[in-house]
Amino acid sequence: MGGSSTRGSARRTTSFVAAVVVGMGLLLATWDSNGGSASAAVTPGVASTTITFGQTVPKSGPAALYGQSTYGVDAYFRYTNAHGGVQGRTLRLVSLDDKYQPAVSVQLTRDLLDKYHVFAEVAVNGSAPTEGVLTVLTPANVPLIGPQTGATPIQAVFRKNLYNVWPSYVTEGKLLGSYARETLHLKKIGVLYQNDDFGKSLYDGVKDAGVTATVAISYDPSQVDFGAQAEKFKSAGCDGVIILAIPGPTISFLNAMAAIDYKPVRLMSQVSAIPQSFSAAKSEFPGSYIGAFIPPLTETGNPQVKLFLDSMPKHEPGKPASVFAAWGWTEAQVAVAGLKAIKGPITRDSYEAALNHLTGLQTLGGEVSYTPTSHAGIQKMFMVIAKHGRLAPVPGE
Amino acid sequence: MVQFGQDVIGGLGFGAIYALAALGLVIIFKTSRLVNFAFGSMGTAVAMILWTLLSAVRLPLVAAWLLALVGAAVVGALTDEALLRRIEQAPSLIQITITLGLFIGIEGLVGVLWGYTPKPLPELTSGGSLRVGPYFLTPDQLLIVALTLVLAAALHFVLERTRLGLAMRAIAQDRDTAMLMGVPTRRTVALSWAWGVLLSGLAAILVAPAVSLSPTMMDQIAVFAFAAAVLGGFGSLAGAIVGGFIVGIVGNLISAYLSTNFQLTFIFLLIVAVLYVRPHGIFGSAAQSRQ
Amino acid sequence: MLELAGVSLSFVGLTAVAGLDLRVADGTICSLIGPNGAGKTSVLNLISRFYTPQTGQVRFNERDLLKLPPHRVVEIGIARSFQSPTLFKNLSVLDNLLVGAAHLSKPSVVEDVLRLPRSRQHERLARERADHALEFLKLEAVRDRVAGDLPYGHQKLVDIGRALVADPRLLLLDEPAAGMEEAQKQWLANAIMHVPDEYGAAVLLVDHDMGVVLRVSDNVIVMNFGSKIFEGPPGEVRHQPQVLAAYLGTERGGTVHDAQA
Ligand SMILES: Nc1ncnc2c1ncn2[C@@H]1O[C@H](COP(=O)(O)OP(=O)(O)O)[C@@H](O)[C@H]1O
Ligand SMILES: [Mg+2]
Repeated sequence: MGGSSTRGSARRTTSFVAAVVVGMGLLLATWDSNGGSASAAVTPGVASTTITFGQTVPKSGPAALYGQSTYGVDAYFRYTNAHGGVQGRTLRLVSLDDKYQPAVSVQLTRDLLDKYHVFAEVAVNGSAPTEGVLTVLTPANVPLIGPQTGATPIQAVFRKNLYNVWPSYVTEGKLLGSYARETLHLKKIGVLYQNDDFGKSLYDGVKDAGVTATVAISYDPSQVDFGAQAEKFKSAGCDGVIILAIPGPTISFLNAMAAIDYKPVRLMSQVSAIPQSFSAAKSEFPGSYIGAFIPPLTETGNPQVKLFLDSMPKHEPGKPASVFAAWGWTEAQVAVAGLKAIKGPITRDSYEAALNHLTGLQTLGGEVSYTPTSHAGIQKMFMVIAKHGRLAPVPGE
Repeated sequence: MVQFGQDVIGGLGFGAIYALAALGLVIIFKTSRLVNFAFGSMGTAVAMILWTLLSAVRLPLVAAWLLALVGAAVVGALTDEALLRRIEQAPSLIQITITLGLFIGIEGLVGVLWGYTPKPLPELTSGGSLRVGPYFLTPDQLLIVALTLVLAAALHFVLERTRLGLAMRAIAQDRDTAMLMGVPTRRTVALSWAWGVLLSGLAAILVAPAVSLSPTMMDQIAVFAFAAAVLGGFGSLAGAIVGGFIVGIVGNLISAYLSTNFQLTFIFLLIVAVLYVRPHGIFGSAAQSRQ
Repeated sequence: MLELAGVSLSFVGLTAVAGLDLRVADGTICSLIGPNGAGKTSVLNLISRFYTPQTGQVRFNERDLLKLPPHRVVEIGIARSFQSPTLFKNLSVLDNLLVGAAHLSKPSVVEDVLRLPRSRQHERLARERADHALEFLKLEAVRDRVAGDLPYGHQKLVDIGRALVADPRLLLLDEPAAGMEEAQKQWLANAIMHVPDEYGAAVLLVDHDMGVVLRVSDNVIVMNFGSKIFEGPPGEVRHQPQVLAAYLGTERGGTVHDAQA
């Protein structure tokens, strides 16, 4: 529903073209072998003129906002294509709406392999959906670059075909925790965390930073009324609250704190750092600290930010150059860098080999390095502060 | 104790929202015997329209409000006219499927038209929280509760004291006989749809400033409002109101003293308990649910 | 005013009304009698437009009734009571009666909600008619009771009252005396006799009770197996052998004579 119909038909054309290309490739292979020369097995998704990537992201339902990351992937692919593509091939993206439902993600991932014959996947969104997607991709040895999650079950287990781009939630939680304790010198810290891998991994990081929460409350992501939670932090006298939540609940919680005139120092996850929506929360949102790996998109002096901001209107006109798009852009940067590093025929094995030796790759979201035994994502995070509806660097850092 | 009091007060605001939405459900159910599962997404659509009127058309707040609500009423009447009238005689499973389909369809459409970025809707009142003794109240919470009670009283008046209300009550009891008596049943049912969707829209508009406006905003609220209507006997206005406040306050207390993860579980346990003691809901009568 | 000509109605495999001619004149009381299953209720249902006959004509004041949908019938002046009352069981007796006045005027919704003059005027008129019906049928004492809680006999009266509030020119009554005690029956017969004067309405009465029928009717029609087997003034009915046969054949015992006591 969320995906526009033009994208849908483009997708169908893509798959049709892909099918025709694959079919012709097979014919050629037979003809070749008749001629006596050996030929490599055909790699799915790699045709003579195109390389096809796939992804599942929510474009409708409660997490639909994250679907904006597709715009960033698309934009970076088109930017790459405009600059000659990879080995003379253009990059294509088949993006399917999984509504943030892991069962749907699994089904769609099978479709991506069987019907769309994608070469690899990039920028799959969400912890639980990614876990589902991996159950299909890992046995088939299909590379996945940049799942949009920092959850421990995904980041802490090495998988040959999985390349993380996001910092882990533990890293992020540690940053928030140590910043609250050591830089802001908060005495009584409250923690609100989502009752799933996302919230728990972040909270683990906060605890790793040596923070003992005065009050820690978990919540269900579908919850709307946060009055009771706000009241609990307030009556416990917390001077700071770390909010480990997705955007909707974050906004509701901020509004609930405002309703009881409670203004602690607020630290929150970058997952909720959506400048367009600051105005949806009352005047309490500005001044919140956010742990980030994507730099503030106002820093046009940063060449990575500038390239992103210049490319979005050019390659994805009319689509928001949001922090979510910046996620997708960053992940696409890694995926493309890996492709470009391949010498010789493009296969899944050669792709993984190339990715395994990426070092010091500079992306919009920071530096990425892989080794054959470590596929960890971006390590460096920093604090930004919400100000006048935008994210800005923390003064004096 | 102060915290307990604050938790109760906190629950009032959302309770009023549940009550309004439940009223919308009950009004429609009374005359058309249909459970309008689409009420949540219809409300969201109204709130989105209001957002457009305010941010794109730049109408003044009051004018935008009135226009959005009138729009809601018209859409309600048209929904009945165009779609639900045709499934009046259908088995209830089909009817449920259709209003559920409507719910999903509208939510998707709202997503396509307005996108999923949370949007701000301005509060009705300006200014910070009020302090009453040790308790805090927002002017909006007060306004929402007051508006809910006034609307409920007005509806009660219409239902009990006017010809239209008599028509609604007669239709609720026995539509065919009412029709034979010359009661304008079609008009009355369409009108109750107008009222019902208007109330859903109002609930959505009032809750949006607190939770931010997004296509799925009403999903959870709709579940609680449905619970409120069931608790109140699904047919009684007073029941919907009391049910709404009970769900709001008890829900808040549960998330304060147990865990938010149990909110839904406990609300439904409460419903089971109430229905066990009073099979027709707090305010329902046996005769009503026999219909 | 009411005229049925050659009306036949059959259900699957069963003829309920067979070529019936029937007339009810202005301001008169006409009774339709016959054994159970003779087709009496079916005739009333035809007039109410619940059923459409396969053949024949139904006219009311020169108007083709068959062109009207059931809910318009009351608008042209035909109201009825039912063999088993179909009251709004949760509403008060008064509200039940008021619903009867629903079609009398049509103030708009806005007028209704804001109680503008036209709506108030309608309510006043409806209240007057309801009060009159309450008095006429001796229901004042139960005015505010919930209709569904009343004894059966009272419910039947409320049903009749609701039809009277509708200001009909023709009142159809389906076995109003059934289930009533003897004294109540006599009182009801009296009331029915006064309907033409009090309400200016003709009556088409279906009832089993010969005492009531013979006392109130100007004209009696006897039906059996869907056909008219006799028509005439009440004085002649009990002497008709075919009427006796019809009753004796189906209902053991000389009902016609017994009922006369
Ligand atoms: N809706 C119907 N469907 C089938 N048969 C019917 C229906 N209504 C009445 N009948 C039959 O038509 C015949 C006449 O019924 P009815 O008019 O109710 O008789 P009465 O009122 O004289 O007792 C009966 O045999 C009855 O079973
Ligand atoms: Mg009968």
